Amino acid sequence: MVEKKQRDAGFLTQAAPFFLGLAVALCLGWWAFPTLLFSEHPQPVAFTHKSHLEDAGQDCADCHFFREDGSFSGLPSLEQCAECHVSSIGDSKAEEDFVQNFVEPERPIPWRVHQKQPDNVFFSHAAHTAATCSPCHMEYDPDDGENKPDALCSQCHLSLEELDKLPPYKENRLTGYSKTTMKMQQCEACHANPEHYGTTNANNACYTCHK
Amino acid sequence: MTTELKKFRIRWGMVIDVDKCTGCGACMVACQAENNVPPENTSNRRKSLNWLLVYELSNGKSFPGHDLAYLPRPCQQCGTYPCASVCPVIATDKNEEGGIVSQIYPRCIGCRYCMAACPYHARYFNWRDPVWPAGMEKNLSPDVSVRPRGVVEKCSFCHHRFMQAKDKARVEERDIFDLEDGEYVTACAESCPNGAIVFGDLNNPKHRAHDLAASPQAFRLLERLGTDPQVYYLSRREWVRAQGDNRLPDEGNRG
Amino acid sequence: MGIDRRSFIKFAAGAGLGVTASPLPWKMIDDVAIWTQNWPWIPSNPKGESVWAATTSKYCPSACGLKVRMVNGQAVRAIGDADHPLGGGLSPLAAAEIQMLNSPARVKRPLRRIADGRLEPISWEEAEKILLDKLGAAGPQVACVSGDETGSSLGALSALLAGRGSNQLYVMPSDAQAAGRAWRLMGGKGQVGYDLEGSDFVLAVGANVLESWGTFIRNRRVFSSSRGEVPGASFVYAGPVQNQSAAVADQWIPLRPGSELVFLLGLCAVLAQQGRSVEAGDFLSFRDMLSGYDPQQVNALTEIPAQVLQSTAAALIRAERPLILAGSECGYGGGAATVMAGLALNLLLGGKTLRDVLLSGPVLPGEKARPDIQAGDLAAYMGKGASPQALLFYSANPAYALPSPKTVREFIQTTPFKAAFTSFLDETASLCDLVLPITFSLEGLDDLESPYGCAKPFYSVCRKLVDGPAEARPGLELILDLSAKLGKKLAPSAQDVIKAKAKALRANATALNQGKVFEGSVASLPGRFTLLPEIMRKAAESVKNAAPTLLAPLSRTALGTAQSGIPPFNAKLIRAGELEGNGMQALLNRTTAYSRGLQDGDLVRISAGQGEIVARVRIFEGIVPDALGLTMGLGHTALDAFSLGKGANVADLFTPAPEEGSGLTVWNRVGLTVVKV
Repeated sequence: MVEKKQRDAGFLTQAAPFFLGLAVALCLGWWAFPTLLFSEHPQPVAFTHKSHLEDAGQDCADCHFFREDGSFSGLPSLEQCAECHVSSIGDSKAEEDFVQNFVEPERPIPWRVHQKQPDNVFFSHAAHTAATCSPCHMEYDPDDGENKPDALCSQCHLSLEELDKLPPYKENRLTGYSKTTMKMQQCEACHANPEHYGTTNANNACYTCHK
Repeated sequence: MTTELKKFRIRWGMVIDVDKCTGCGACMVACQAENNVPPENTSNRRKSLNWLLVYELSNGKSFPGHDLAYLPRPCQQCGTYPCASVCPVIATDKNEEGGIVSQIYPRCIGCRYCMAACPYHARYFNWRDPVWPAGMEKNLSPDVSVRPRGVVEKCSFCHHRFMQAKDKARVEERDIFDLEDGEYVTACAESCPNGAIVFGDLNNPKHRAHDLAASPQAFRLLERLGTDPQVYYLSRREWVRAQGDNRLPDEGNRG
Repeated sequence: MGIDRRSFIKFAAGAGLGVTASPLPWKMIDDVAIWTQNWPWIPSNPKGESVWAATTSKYCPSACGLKVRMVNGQAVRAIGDADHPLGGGLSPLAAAEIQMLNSPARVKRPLRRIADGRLEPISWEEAEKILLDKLGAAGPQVACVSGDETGSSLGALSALLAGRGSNQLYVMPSDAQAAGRAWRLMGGKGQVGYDLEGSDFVLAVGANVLESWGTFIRNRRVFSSSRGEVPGASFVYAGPVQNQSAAVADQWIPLRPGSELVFLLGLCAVLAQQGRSVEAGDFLSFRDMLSGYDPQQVNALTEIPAQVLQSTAAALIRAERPLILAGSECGYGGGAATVMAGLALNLLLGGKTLRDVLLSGPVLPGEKARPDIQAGDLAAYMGKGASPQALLFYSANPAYALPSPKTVREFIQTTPFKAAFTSFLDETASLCDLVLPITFSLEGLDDLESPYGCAKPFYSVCRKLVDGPAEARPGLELILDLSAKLGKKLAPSAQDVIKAKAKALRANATALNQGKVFEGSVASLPGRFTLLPEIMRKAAESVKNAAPTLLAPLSRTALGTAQSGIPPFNAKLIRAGELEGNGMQALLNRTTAYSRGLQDGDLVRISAGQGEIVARVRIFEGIVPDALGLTMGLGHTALDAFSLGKGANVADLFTPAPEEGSGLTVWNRVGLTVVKV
């Protein structure tokens, strides 16, 4: 008995380097690596969706709309911003900075886009609207009697409409892409799912998503 | 090797009237500009990329009986796609409404099996990284990604224009599978002043290409290989049709 | 516990397991794979909204309509414009027009020749000072060559020269000039126009009507519509080579090079014999002259079978609205006589498809009208031993395109001062003392009036759509500015010239500035013509003593203009029959080659006059006997790598000869000596 106990204690002592190595590697792999992999950048403008939606009474589609040719506007251009902010209309420091740094010198805003995709990806916003996905995925809201397309945007994009401050942009040091950008796997969750064939026009041909 | 024929509701196709083509090459230039195919300072075709290539055909007779014709050759978008069926990494397939043989450039490992399999020499390998003369890269088209060296590429029937046409239809709440004739056309078809290239849905009776493909003068290249191309040619000249099918001199006419 | 080998291995094993069980290796593999997809040297696509603008191409000689797509202020694509009266598709040049904005051959800043012969960049202030000094010193001893016949810049240059007391403004020779001469001599008021759209039988003689002649994109659109389900006009091409037009025409009539005139006179003779006539004071002498060109005599002169002549004449008579288009195979040097015979044939057939296209006329003080400028002959001027003190070139490259370029180069070099206003550093600019960058198509305000071939008065303002090189200046604006600085104010701005033009044409300047084109109404044909049979007879004489081997130049629009050279995107379009490696190809049919002891692949030295080129024999059966076909547009000695060192310049072989009566120089019957190397 005593011998065995000693042997057990000896085993633990002897195995300690192994567990130490394991612990260090796990820390490295699960915490240090993911932290080090991404660099954090603030957005060039302290933009707030909240004040535009609530205070200015704007609608999402005022800036993020479909053009006549079917393409999606994405982020508004400086000209669009300058339609209101040709000079400061409020008294916030952020707006003042914006007017001074971008509107006056007519410098396009170098937004850091969380969902920026590589050149070889073709994403059609027009194809991913409520009309395509809502019949199955949207819950019918009996109160206002409508589906909510907002939730559809946040399937891929960060929900920013409630936020006062833009979240920092995390860039993968190796790939140069945003941490939150969508990967092919996520596209395939629907596109390679046979349940979507027939119910939507989704399919998994290369050119459906690549150009 | 070919696989079994895939059927689609829409079959995008081209009908190229050989008797209208003067071989000017506008289609080839428009194609390069539209699809960001880099220029090449050589007339040597071994290593240059030509998604669309205009061949010169001759009836082989002596003056004054000589006749010539020009035959533009895009990807034939075969129904039984010999190229996609040999791809070891599924970087190319034919799986989409419209029947266009599609590709993912970053996935291609450059083995070039598909090039060997294509009976039409429609596929090209990027032996080098693409280079544009300094400054010309500013004029790249936004619609097609630039391919690096080591990948195979080919004519896509300007697939991005199909996507754009569908997006327009979606925004206008129309049926994306019932596009009007001419709403989606390739850059080559659009550029040809002679109207030699007609592009449309071969299955849609409202499209001009549908009727033209059924013309008695229509033929397809190397038809007897059974590749079922989606590119049709028209010529009232028997010798052109015979060369299109690579018929041997002692062979009879198709019957 | 010390760190011994055993515990280190244990640690490593633990670490290995831990890393494997963490996302690190898997994420790394994935990210490295993504990293390899985006090399920094692979250019990226532009992103942004597409904006479209309509305009007319100043680059493509057919003046085709363009719709230009721009993203983030950069032009990315030009597509054809079916709504444009001269549009409906792209030429291989218009398709490459956007890329030519960034051609390696562009001149981006003013250059001055320095002592060691190199061109060195200088500022615009310095360049302007030199130019004004030299022009001031030269006084009336200044001459100018323009390669832009359709823009207001031509008239502005004539006004600038008038201010200096000189009238030595020349256009680069072209079919347009030859036809301008012919029409003027025969009594036309404006510019001759052809109603292709309204014709049911088009006979193109020499003119490569579906590749390079006139408004060829419009010609091709008309051709295209004639092949619809309801068959439209027939197209017949007569010329020495089975070229692009012949490849799709309903009929190819092989003609020996330079025998277009006799063929046309033969057709006129058949019609005259059937009692057809023209309202012309000298019709009788014309008819007398034609008696020397009955089918048998034409056959003796040119080997055209009499029956071909008869059947072609019969087809013309059968047609309700036939149209004859006469020109030269290579687009210039064909002379006025051939065009006159073509016009006479049209008139014998009723002239229903001929038009008198009135031009806007002078709007600036001292400006000369286009037909008056076309009356001057550049080749003759340079050959006559003129000695101007200063020479100006505006978008013109005579050192490449004129016959016997060696003589032209010598002429330029012996002129004390020469300056080029150009977008590309071409052969001529390379010889100049001063090179001034002007904007290219789409980069600066320019205009385009009634290109040769159009049926109605046409005017288009070519707006500035994109930024050019920072130091390139719009040509028209520059000419106005120079003239003002030399003491003669022509107009306050280019926009004012355009307004004046629009007013003269009764066009809406606002609409023009928005990209709409103007099409005017047609003036009635002159009631009486002059046929001048003597000019035709004399020109036809030269057919009698033709050399045993004649040059058949082949035009190929894809190979660029003389000024731009081969666009980078078009280098791939060069066919094996035109160039093998960098070696020129000479097309001969088998009988011709064998009779000269030549075989496919033989290297031959081809000479004519002082010029000589080396080429490889290529058997091509689509060419008439005793003719040797060479492709134009090759053999540049300047510009960029896409044009340099490729083949030979056919102009080296052109032997210019005067055409009596028209004052033009012709080179359409070039006799060749072919020697096996």
